[in-house]
Amino acid sequence: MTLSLLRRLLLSSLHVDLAYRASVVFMLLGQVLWIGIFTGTYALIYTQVQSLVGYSFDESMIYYATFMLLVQLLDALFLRAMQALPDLIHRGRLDTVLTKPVDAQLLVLFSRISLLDFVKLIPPAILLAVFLARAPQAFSWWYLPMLLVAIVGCTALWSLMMSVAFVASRIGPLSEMFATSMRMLQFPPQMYRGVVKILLYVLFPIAPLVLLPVQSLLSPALLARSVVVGLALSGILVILARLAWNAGLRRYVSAS
Amino acid sequence: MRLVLLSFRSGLLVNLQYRSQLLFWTVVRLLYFALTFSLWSAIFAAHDGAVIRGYTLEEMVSYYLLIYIVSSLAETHFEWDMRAEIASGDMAPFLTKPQPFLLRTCMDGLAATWMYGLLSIVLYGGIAWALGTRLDALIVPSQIVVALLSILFALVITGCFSAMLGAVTFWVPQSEPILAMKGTILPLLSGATIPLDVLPLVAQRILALTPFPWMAFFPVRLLTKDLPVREIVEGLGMQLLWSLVLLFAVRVVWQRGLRRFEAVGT
Repeated sequence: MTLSLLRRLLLSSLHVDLAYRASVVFMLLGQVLWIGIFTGTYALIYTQVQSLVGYSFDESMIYYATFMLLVQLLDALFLRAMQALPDLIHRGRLDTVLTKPVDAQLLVLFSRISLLDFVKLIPPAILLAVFLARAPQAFSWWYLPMLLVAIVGCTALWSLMMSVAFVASRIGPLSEMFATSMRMLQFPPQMYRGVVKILLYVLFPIAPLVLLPVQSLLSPALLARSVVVGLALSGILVILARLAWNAGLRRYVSAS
Repeated sequence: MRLVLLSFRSGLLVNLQYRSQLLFWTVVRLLYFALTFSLWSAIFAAHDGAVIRGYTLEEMVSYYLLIYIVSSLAETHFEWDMRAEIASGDMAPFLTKPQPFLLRTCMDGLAATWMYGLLSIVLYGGIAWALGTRLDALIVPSQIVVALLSILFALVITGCFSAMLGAVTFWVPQSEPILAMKGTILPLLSGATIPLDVLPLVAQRILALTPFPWMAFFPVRLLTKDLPVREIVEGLGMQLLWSLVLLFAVRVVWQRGLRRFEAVGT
């Protein structure tokens, strides 16, 4: 996909967003409230304990801020595209994408980026900055590439699941399951056991992806391992997402 | 009254159309309970004593099971349907029909609440059984009737919230972020995220003046604590007061909103 096409897609999304400016204020307000509530909940928990599954209060907040950054980036970049994909497939509107001289999967993924949604990155970024400033560890620049690897992996996993729309008429429950699994990671995944652990580490392997940037800050000794695991996991997910998309396309029946 | 019953029946039939959603709802609720259970297990494991702010782990688990049941019996989400129909203009045909739009939407929501509420009793009862927690042993039998009355009041309060939030779409067409804020604020302030009596006393006193603790926390207290008559009367009085205030507010907001409604081509 050429950069000029991406630029035009972004501009077009921005024009749509600007038609509903008031909702941006509420979006930001909602985000601040959500983060405030969670920070308060964490603070209340840490009045009772010194550390939770190995995380001090500051480390928990660094984990939470990173989790929120990741989720908000995913939402701003791909949420609308993912939500629209089943409709594109089931109504045969994917035809208009397939006839374009660019990679169809990438075009679908990047077609509905919401630039205004990026304002939702501000509160978690501030939270991260505040708690990083208090942390004894120095900021590691590995954080940013690890965050990128986590985004790629999560997007691939999300795309892999949405490809089920090629064979199933209703994928809402699957999509919600993914969203619910994501929400469970608002707290460090080390606290989960049994079936839930299998869900978050194997079935929807989001937990190891979310931990990648966090470990680059909090466990620098494990950095080499994190890089290898992150790249391998994201690579596998990208390949699977690609295979699922191609397999789905072969089954796709245009509405026309 | 006949119109209300017909609307409720129609809502029930609409909700029963999507039975697979019931299964999915169950799985999601199980996951949320797993989150709560794992979190509190980790907190109690890291804590020095067996009691945190008056709760043992078992009491905490029982509290969540009961508040999830009460919340399911008294929560409504029809603001999302209202938003969709107001924003798209699909509400327009109802303006000329004898079945008012608001009544139909409320009854749809009520039918869903009723259905999921019953399912939640089975689900959380099953979880309690699996964990060896005896919920029946926690319930104060002499207060069951007032607790049920209290749940009804809670349903009126949450229903009014849904109606007012749905009506916001008359002024803000892209109202999803506002509606989503309900999902953020309500569980915390109504006691579904953490028991309100573990909050600092000042916060508890301020919250008592708002409608939120009366939506779920108070009915659970009625079910599980042997409360003095004065506290029961005060609580029910607050619920009645908030129900009347919010019903009036819904009426005003709805009438003003209707004046702003625009529909094209429907």
